[in-house]
Amino acid sequence: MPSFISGAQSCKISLSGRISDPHDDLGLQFGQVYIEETGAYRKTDSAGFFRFENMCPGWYHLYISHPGCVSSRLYFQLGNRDTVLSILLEHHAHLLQTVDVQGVRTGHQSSTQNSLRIQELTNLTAKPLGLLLEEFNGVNSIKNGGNISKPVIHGMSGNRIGILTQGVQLASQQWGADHAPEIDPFGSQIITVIKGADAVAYGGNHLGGIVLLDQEKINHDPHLHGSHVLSYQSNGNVLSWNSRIEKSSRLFDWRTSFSSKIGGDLRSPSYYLSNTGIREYSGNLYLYRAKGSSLVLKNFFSLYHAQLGVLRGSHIGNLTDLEDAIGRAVPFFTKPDFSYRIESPSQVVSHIFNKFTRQKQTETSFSEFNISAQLNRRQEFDVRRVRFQDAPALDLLLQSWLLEYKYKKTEKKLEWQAGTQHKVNYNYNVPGSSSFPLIPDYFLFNPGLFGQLKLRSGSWTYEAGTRYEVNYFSANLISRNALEPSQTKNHLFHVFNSVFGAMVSPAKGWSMKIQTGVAGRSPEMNELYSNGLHQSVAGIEEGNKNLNPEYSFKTLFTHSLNPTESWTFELTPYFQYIRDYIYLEPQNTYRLTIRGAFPVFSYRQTDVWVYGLDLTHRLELGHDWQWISRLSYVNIMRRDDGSTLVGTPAPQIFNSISYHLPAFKKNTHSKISINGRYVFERTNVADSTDFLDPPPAYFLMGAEFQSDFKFFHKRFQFILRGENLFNRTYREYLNRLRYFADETGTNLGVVLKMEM
Amino acid sequence: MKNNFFQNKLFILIALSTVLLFQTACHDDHNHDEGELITTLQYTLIDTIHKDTVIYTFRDLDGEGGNAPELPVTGILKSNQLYLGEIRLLNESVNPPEDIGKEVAAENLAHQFFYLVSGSLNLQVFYADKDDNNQRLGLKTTVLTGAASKGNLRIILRHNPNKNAPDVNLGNPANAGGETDIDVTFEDVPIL
Repeated sequence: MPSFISGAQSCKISLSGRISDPHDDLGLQFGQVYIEETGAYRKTDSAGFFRFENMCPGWYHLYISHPGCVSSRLYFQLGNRDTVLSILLEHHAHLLQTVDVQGVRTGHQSSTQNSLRIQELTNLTAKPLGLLLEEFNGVNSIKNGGNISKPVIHGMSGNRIGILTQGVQLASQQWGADHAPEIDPFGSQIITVIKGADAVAYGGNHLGGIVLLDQEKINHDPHLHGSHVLSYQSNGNVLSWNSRIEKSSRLFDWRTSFSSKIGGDLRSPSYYLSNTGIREYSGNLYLYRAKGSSLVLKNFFSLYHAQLGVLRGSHIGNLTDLEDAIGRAVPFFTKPDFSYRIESPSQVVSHIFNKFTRQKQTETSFSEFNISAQLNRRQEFDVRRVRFQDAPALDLLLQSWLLEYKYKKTEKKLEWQAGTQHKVNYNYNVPGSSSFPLIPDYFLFNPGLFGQLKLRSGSWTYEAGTRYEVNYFSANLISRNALEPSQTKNHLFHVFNSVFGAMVSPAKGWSMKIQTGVAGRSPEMNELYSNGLHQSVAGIEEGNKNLNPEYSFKTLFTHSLNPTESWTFELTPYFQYIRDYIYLEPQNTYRLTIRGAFPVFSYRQTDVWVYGLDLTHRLELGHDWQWISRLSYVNIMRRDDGSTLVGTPAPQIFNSISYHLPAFKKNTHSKISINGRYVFERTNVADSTDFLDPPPAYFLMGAEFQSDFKFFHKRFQFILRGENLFNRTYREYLNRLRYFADETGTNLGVVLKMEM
Repeated sequence: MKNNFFQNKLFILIALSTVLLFQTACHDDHNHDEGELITTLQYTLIDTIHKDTVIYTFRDLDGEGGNAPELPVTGILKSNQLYLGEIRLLNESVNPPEDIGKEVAAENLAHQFFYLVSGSLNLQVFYADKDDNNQRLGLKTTVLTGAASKGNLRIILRHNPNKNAPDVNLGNPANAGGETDIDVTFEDVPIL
């Protein structure tokens, strides 16, 4: 065995240890431990033990992996004595329930949440955030074609979902399906979805749920490490690249990551979806500095820029155009050839973000101070007359600042936390668009206060929290008549949130949680004041300045059973009553314009019931076979007439079977899987509320192969993915483009990842 | 504790720069001229013999939404006459008003008007102009009136139509595609 340490030390030390599951302390068989410096590796035995002999003292990189787990890397010093390590490996995300990301974020321990970690993210490289989140049960996405999508959690979307990057709400234009969140999910390593309404620790209007994008802790390792991922997708010829490197140094630890993506026209089974290309560039830098054991300073900076094409055939002038487009077999303006070109209609979005954090920790207390700023520019280009061709039809600049302070105290059985947030948003219509702004310029001041308690008693854990916040809007309304002066309108909303949760674990591997809460959401600017023609939906949208905050009363029950390590059954029914639910209601009037008559849509409030069920079932047969089954059902029902609201996701069933192949030569962790997704037809939507009936049910097949291998002492991962394998023609209810075109056909993806 | 905080000058600097990261763009000189807007369509018909003038106007000064448009008419069409028709397009929301018709004439390849008659209106509209590719445009028309009657006249302007699609050169928009810039119907147009 080569020794990399000079000096006459005894190279007779043994390094042994055990890999186990942190939840039930069961040893994990079939794990692998690899010492990078020496090239030696061991497999764990049936109780999870491994052992290396004749080691020299010194610093080593240990790479620990297991087929069912998230791999991890360890850098540690082996002293001049025999050493035993105890290593906890998290299971893969499908089943994770309570990953306390940093140990400081209480507020969601009792809610139903799932996480995706960097390893699963690799498989999904090049997917936009909205589509990527469909991996979570109970999460769908609303789309405007293949590149523009945003998440729907338990039937809620848009303004009701908060997307938080590093704990700060992404300042973006949240309204409508045609504006995607301005973020590259691959700049983060952990993505968490919180489905509950209990996230009182986070400011803002997140009545429907929260998506968290977070950085993993940087390993205390003085060497440069990282990964490079290259991927290709056949549909759209999408090339993407992502690199991430990190290092720990004496002054601070740092991590930086860069991504870029270039794609052309996507293709449905029978024609190209002309002008659906994408260009996306992003980068970030994360700095971490620990002073002693109690003080931590962090700074996170990120940049994002994207240009997104919108299907040319979906650009319409009036209702007649829409009706013409709906009846067509092939969309207008469909070109016979593939192209990388992006023309109007298109969107160009940029986002700059910086956050500074200071954390102070003692044995029983923890405090955190955050300050962050964001700049968001969104330009949307329409097909216009030549004179205006280069000017965006919509040009918004949104600036946002957030100041935050949290304090947490932990006592024997009791833990409490309190904090305050102050957010300022300033939204500005950049002149030069030569069109009337859909959203006025406005200023938002949003201070909030919250407190939380957590109590442990025997096998029970209780949690309670409350939040109060104020939303003060000041909007500057300009008149279409140039002679009339602009008006300033102010609105003040008070919003209360409260939550109570209880969790009990009657026996090992069996847990139940119940959570009930009230969450409020104040109306947003588009709901109050949007005014004008929303061309992409061929309707005139009218804000309603008399809206009140809506309140949700939600109860969520999770039943989780792990009778054995290889069998899990999780059932989450939920019930939510939303008073004064804000929605866009088609009015029975048409407004005459020079482009013809348009239907009028106005923001109204009504009481609705939201109920549904998420079910996840996983069964492992031996260590080779795994079967995962997921079912989700949701309904948003009006209380007055029992009809389903437009845009409620259809129920769906997902099944996947995977087989772990035995190691072959240098290939390890090879896995092959096939999956099928059946999406039902959305029913019971009132006819008069949409231009087109919901599309019929569809079934899609997918498959995936992945394998790890070593090459020149570097670890590689190879993934081959296929989606819509049988090139099915279908349309998806939550895609706005369903009026115009079919969904994309078969897509093959290849991902190659190198770790260093 | 506080000292620790301030010792980290680098981070303090970063924190400060976060606050000042962006300059507020609080300009008050908001100029949201709707240069693209077409507020007014005027269809002027001049009798080739008597030089009588009939003008059908659609005017919506505040664009979509807001106040309802006005549709004033001057003059009346007479039976069995030949009229020369001409379209004027204006943006009267800006001062001075802009002549959008000129822009359409300049971009004649990307535009075409369609004239649709419905009800029992006894009226035929023929294209009297061509674009640079020798295809129909429709800013200028020749109109033939028949016997006394009443019905609707609908005028459509399409942006980026496919002028080669079937029947488009005959004035039928069904296969033309493109975006509708104008779609105005004058109801109960009488011919005396």
